[in-house]
Amino acid sequence: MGEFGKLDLQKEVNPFFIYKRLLLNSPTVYFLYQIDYGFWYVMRKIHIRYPEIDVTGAVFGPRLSVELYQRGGNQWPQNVPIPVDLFCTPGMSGVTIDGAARMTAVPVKNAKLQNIIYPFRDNFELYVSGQNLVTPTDIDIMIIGFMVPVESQYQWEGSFNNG
Amino acid sequence: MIVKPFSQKIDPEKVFEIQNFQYQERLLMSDTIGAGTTRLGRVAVSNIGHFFCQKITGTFTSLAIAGDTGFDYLSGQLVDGAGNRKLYNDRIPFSLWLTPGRRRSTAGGTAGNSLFLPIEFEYLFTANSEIQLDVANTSDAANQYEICFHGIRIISDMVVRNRISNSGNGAQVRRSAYQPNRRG
Repeated sequence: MGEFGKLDLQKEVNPFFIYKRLLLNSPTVYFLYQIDYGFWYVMRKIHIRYPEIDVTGAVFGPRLSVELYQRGGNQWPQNVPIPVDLFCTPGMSGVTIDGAARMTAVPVKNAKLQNIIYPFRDNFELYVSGQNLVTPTDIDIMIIGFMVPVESQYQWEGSFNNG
Repeated sequence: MIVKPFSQKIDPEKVFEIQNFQYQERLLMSDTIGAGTTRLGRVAVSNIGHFFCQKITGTFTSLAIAGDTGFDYLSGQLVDGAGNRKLYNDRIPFSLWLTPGRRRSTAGGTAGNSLFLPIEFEYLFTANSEIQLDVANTSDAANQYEICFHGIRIISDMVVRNRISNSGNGAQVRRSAYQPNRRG
């Protein structure tokens, strides 16, 4: 395992859900979350929703896509950005947005299992593209995953140029 | 006696042995959140043993003064009461992590959904602790929710000792509880 540390499954593995709402104000927007010290993060599923209809009934008809990037391993686990509703839930089906930017409570169904592991201090990175900078304005992203503790706190031993 | 309901042998004696000390259980948390307020929902794990949560399901209402609008007004952050460990990074809108999710309220609105796929949430809540949910309601009307935690109750040593001392067949229970691997 080297400088990323050995997993310690005897310690408590705890679920950790990560949520952010992104404002779609540039051609590509970034969902970034730095994994805590001392833990690996096993990402299991992604729940994403965004509106297709506004409160006036105007249909946006957007086709947003997402890309995952594993910075620790420098890997792009897809060839091109993938439309949200092909591997996430609930997507945009039936989602409207009101004047206070609240979205319809559509049900979550089944999302594709991801099972991607991020070592500690890695960034969870997800890029959203495909909007026309007018609509939609917001996207909700939630990650279902688990924090897995590592045996040693390598970051305190100088192996990351901090000692 | 050996029962073979499917292709698997089931030994009732061993099954009952296990069920005495760990069994499926569900804990329900339900609450009503006033308009525009936050509130901490609690459910006690109780002192009979630890609770290993495996799945979460839940429903909630989407009421506003204008009626049942169907919008997502409730959001919450789950917390392990022992040590105050936050299990979400922020309050998350209920419809993103609860199935079946929104349900029709007494004010009407469109129909809700049926249970689809319980959300995976494997975590050990210790005996005597609390499962806490910090909930915010952004609506101008009160909203309700019910969340069910599905898991396994793992009876604590203290309860096991009490059961043994209260049992008419203490020797057998004691042997099965503490030397499970030595039985044929």
